Amino acid sequence: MSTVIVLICLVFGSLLLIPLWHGAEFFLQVPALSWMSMQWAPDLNVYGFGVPLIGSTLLIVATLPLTLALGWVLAFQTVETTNTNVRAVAIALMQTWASLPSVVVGVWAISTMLPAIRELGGSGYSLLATSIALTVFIAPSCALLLMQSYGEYRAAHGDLERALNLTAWEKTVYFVKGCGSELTHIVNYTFCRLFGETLIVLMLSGNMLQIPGSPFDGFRTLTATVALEIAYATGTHELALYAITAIGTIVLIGLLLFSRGRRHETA
Amino acid sequence: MKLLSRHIFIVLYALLTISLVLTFTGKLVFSRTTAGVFVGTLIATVGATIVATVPAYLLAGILAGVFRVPAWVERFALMICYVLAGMPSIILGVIGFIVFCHWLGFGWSLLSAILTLVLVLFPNLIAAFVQLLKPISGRYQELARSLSIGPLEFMFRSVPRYKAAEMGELLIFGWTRALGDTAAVMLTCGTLLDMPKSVFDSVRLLNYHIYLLAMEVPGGMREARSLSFLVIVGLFVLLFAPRLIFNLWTSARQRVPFNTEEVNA
Amino acid sequence: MKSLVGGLLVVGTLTAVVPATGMATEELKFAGSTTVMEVLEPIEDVFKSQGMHIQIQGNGSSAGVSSMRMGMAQVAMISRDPTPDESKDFHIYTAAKDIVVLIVNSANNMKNITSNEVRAIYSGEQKTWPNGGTVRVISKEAGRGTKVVFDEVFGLIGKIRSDAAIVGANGQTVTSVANDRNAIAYVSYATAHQAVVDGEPIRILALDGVEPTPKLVLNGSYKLGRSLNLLYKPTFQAQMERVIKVLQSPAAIQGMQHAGVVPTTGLSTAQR
Repeated sequence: MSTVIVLICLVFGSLLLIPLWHGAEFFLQVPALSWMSMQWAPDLNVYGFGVPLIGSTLLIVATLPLTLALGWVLAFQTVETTNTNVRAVAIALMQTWASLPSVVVGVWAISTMLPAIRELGGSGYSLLATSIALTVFIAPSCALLLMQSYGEYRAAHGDLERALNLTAWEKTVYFVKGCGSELTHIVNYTFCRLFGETLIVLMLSGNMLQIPGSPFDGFRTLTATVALEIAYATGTHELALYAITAIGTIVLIGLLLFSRGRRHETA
Repeated sequence: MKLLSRHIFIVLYALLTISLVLTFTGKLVFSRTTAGVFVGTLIATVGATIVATVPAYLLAGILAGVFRVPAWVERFALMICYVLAGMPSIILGVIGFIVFCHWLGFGWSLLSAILTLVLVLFPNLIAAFVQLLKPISGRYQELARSLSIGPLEFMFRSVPRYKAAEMGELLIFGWTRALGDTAAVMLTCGTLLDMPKSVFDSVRLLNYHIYLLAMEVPGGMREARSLSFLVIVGLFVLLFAPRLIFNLWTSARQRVPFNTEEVNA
Repeated sequence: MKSLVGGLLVVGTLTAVVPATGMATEELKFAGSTTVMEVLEPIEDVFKSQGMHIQIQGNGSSAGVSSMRMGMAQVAMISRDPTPDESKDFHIYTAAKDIVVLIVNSANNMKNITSNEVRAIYSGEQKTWPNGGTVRVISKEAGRGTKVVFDEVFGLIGKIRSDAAIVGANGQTVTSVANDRNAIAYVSYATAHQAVVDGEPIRILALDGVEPTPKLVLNGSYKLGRSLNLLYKPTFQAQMERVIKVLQSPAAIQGMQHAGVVPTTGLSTAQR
């Protein structure tokens, strides 16, 4: 069995080596001082990853808790409802949202949300707008997974919950305590989705090469840089985009190792 | 009012969906859209879901603890899964373009798109299957072991039989991700508008079609809006109708509720 | 269920294998910029009437060049100027010129903009409109043909203000300007013109008093234009000469003009 699994993983893993390989080529070509700087100007052959890296981090810090909270509330309300028709509508709604092409959500956000945020200040392209749109877009996926988990949990412990007459908050706490390891999967998965999501970020962040000073400022993320520029990039510029992917992968692996390590400590 | 407070976030999503639909209402124009777009999209997304299911299910079995494997194998599987999930889909598109279109010589084709979409939805399916398997693996496996049911038999016979509805839901969940992705298919499936005759034919998939219309084609915005409208309403009906029919059917059959939840409610 | 899946797989492989064996039909594959794709797609019929089968794939300029290098396509369409490497390895034919125009929201009462104003606005020296609103600058991503031309013409290479929103796609640029009364952006003429026809609230600005029209680009009185190029390997010279002949036929020229670009008849590689 191990062999089969290792083979499957190797097939996928070897595919992932392609961007890493090109990324390595970039790191050999370009001196470290250039790519560790805060200036990203491919026109001038300057490739600093600082600004996009900070942008990605800020976006995830702002969005991950929101997405998980909204996803949980949706899952909770859907599982708890006794009205089967409401449940059917809720699940269908969430699946619809999960399957919408992201460009549809992007166009919707540009024409409804951006003008509203522009009223509050700034150009509308902002951390706030991206964060809200991303939350709205990813929370259903998160909720569908949580629903599965909580549904099973409730099938096993629902009678107990009713017997103890728990409040919604207490149910949440018990569920989180009881299903910690499944939840780690969901948290990590949501994190990866947020990190890898490109088109919505591309359309709403404004892609400004600056570190946002307030939620109303535009910013630039790693993945949006790749998606934005790869269609026209050549030579070192193209390699730099692969290097960004490599950096993203390394950051991801690092964080996941960290979260795994922590879990073992608590277990 | 009570309904509202209990389902407030579901109502919120219903409102968001209505706002979404309203954004895209207007005169419907379908001058550049061909049937091939829809057929191709269906083949590519469903095909990718079918191809990805078995390996994803096996990996999920590992992560949920159904199979006993060395710790490093589990860690390796987990790492691959998350790195794939966090990979920007445009990069997966580039990988698919280099490997499937070029090295394996499939060219721009439905086949390349299917294989690339497998990369995209693989982590999705794993995450979903883990949620299905993890809660039941502990409880059921004791029983399975005493009945001398092996892990493979447990996963491929017992679980599909007793959790058929949930598995269906999860496959739909995986499929939705394949349907929503634009960047991965734009480099691998090509942009022809004709009806595909085989999986080696190139066809423009619906999401990339909408993207092109909204973003690149001069004056394509109106048609992009019409298509978006169609997609939102169509998907909702497609996903809601079977559930509604099922609900009506069960409520007609079960005049006497024997479900404890309903009694307690 | 299992048998169903198995059946599907078998049918799939069968349909896959049969045509793959007989796929040797002669066909010219174009790949690359979606902008050029939109120009060439309507004149596909002209090629057909000349007995040529062309297949057009739009996946971005750079992907087009790499797919030609890989041999997946015979012609790469690029909406930027070729890099030194590319002009060394390939032959180039400039099929058309695309006009770039500056657009603002129609609530903005500006009708003409001077080069100096453009420079001031995009470099961040001028931050407000004459009527007092804050200027919201929309630019394009590094490497895009439109941006390269724009930067060169106005001497803005590396000087564009860092808080300029970067919007790549023409369609989104129009949507953004239509929704923001203080925005300014540059897009291709075809997109802007069609959007005005469709009733989007945007206005095309005259640059230094010159209204952007297709004619004025050819004689050089309107400065902002990018070339839409076709790249091909020297070995495909014979086929490409036929393609070029079709592209210079009246029907094709009319088709390209209809798509909002300026066909460059007789302008060959040497004269560029």
